[in-house]
Amino acid sequence: MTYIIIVSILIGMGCGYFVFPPEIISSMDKVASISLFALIFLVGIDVGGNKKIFKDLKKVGLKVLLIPFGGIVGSLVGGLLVGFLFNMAINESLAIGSGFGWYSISGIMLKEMGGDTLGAIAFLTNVFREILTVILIPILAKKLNGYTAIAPAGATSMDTTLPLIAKATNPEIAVVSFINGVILSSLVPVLVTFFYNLG
Amino acid sequence: MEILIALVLGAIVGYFLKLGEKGKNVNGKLQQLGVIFLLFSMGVSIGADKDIIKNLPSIGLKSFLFAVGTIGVSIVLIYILSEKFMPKENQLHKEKNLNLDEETIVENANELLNEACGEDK
Repeated sequence: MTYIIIVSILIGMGCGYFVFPPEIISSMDKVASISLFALIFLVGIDVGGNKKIFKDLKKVGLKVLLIPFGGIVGSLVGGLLVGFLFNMAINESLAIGSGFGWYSISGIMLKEMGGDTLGAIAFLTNVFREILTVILIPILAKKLNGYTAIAPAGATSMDTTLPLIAKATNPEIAVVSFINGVILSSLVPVLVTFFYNLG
Repeated sequence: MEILIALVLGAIVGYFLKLGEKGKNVNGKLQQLGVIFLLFSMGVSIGADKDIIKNLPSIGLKSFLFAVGTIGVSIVLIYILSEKFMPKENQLHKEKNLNLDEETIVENANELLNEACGEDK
């Protein structure tokens, strides 16, 4: 899937650069806006159907909510700091930070709301985040602790990077990782929209 | 902001619909299709935008630093919080005093992993 994603965006860039006339591009943007609504609706179905998380939470205790809390605050503060470095608007840097590593969604959403450049930054940020996460998980699990291995993964700690975290830690941390991913994933569409609209 | 309406509507539908494994798979596949199309169209806009193509190195650098920054602060915070407040690994269920034996936990985790297989962000 990762390859398909990279290839489809590269083919798109090629088409936009060499092939497509502006009329096609503007009508494609309209279709894309509608598809985004459909996509977010489908994401919502996943969010609403995740009832198992309450059972999981009861099992391991509410204390584990500290992990997603740290991941959310950490991503927002980190985004804010880097935004200052480049003199970017506060709402934009917070919105980029709240992608939480889910590159397919936050990039698309911010392109729709804030234009091509912001969309591209959000997309690439989360692609880099995933690459770094894959490298960091085993190192963090070994040098710091199992919970910290969940930190870089963000929203992906429930699917893409869950097998890696499980392998580097233990089954209990895997459950925490899953809970963390569900919470962060559910919040991505909400927080990206919320923070972008602050500006 | 309208996007949030789509999310909330979806969540309500998802809460009452009770999708089975099959339904979840179909939903996942549809999402993948949507994502592929939307990323393709994002690629088209980027490719057609000569400014972005010109600025790609600086956009790449910004993005990389955003990734490092968000990951970095998350690691520091979660490390501090977990060292201070969380039970040592493997002790989670013991601290909660639950009659959760090692086997159930392993079973649980395997279930999660099976669910996650083939999914992608």
